[in-house]
Amino acid sequence: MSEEQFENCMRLINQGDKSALKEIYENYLAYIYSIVYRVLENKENAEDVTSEFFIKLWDIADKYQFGGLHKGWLATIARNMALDFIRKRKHEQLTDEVIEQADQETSAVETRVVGELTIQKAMDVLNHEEREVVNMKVMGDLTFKQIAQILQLPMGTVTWRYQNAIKKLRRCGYE
Amino acid sequence: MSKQFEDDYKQMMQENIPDLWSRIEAGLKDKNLDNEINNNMNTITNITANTTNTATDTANITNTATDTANNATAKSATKGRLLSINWNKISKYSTIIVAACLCVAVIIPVFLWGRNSGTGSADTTAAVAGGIEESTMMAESLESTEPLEAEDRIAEQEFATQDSTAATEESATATEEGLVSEAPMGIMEDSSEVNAQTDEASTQEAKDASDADTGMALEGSYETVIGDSGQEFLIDNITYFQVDIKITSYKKFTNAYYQGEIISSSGDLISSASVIKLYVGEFEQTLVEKQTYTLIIMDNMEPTDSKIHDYTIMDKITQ
Repeated sequence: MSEEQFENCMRLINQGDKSALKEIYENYLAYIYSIVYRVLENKENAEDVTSEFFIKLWDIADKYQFGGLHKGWLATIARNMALDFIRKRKHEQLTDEVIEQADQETSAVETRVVGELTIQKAMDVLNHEEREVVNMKVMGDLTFKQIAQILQLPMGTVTWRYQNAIKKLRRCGYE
Repeated sequence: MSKQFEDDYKQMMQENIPDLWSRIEAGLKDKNLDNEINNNMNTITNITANTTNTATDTANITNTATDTANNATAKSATKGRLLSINWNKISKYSTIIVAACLCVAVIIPVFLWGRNSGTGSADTTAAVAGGIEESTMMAESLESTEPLEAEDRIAEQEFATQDSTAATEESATATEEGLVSEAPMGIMEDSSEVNAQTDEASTQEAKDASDADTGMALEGSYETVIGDSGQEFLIDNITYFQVDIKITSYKKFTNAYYQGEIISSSGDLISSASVIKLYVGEFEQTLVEKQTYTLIIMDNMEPTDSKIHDYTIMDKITQ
């Protein structure tokens, strides 16, 4: 969706047009869901937060600053909502455990001689931070600068993570 | 990133996404209704303001009329009003007056009777005295509880103030989310904490990686590719270069980076004497100004308006 299309949709949303929101929903559901899911690592919670995201988008449409980069804006809100969800539900420990477990599994998979793995298994090889960067790059087609802004990290850190992710994926057969 | 991976990943995400539209639609507020309510509220506010003005005018008129009436009319009308007011007051306080009368009628005769009847009266006197004591103690306890209650009230007010402050912060947060560059304060703090944690973890991991065979493998792959071709090489569309560079400056902004002048590079994509930006990866990498280094760098492939291109330092070979 181009900037112009998105801005038109936002104008229509301000006038109460639900079909405009649906258009954004259809274009960005996968993008938003993937960002939220990569933070929460839980399907049900990611669904809840994604639903809340689009409801919030409807409510705050009048606050959108036209002329910006909408993909980064959407990603920032979605990620903040996911982090806020963790804070409110006090699931940090649970999430950390899940991530830790995933990381352990990751190293176990890494040490194996990896043949051709499914995409899901290949993603399991990456750690939480690498998955987040890769997801934003692939699903949002964002630049490293945009990702660094969203994640509030130095750009070197982002490119480093991306590079490490690629290295690991190569071992899984994704040349 | 390989095209195959991107396609597979997008397909996987699309397959796993549930249909949330019905949930979302159910949660949407009717914006037209909201607008209508807002309009109605404005109308009501206007009407209220007008009514207030009218009421003030009416009050002024009434006052004038009353003054006139007071001056003009006879005392009889006033008398009637006074009587009715008196009766109202009397009926209001009648219960208290009756109770007081009863007390006086019962307690005083009992007290007097007990006083006259000698020993038998001691108990009664004691009872009366006990009653007085009790009432004194109750009064004291009431006095002592009042400050406590007052303290509680102050504490409650403070709590309420804190709540309202928190609510204000939350509402401010909600407003700030509308901006591209700004994120909610609470969330910012959280995310910065998370980032700090992830940074630490990543740094540790990077160190581990450089210690372990991963780092060796990376170096190996550089050497192999450069050794074979002598040119820059591509791995999954990321371009790596081996360059000799003289560091000219260090900028410490949000994204700290070095600026340097290329002395020589593997391949032709970076020309000699060109100036580039070098971002630092997750490992400790300290470069000194005016020193020359041999580095492995990665093209960030960032679209930029500046003539100075962005790279990330992947490895330092020599100084």
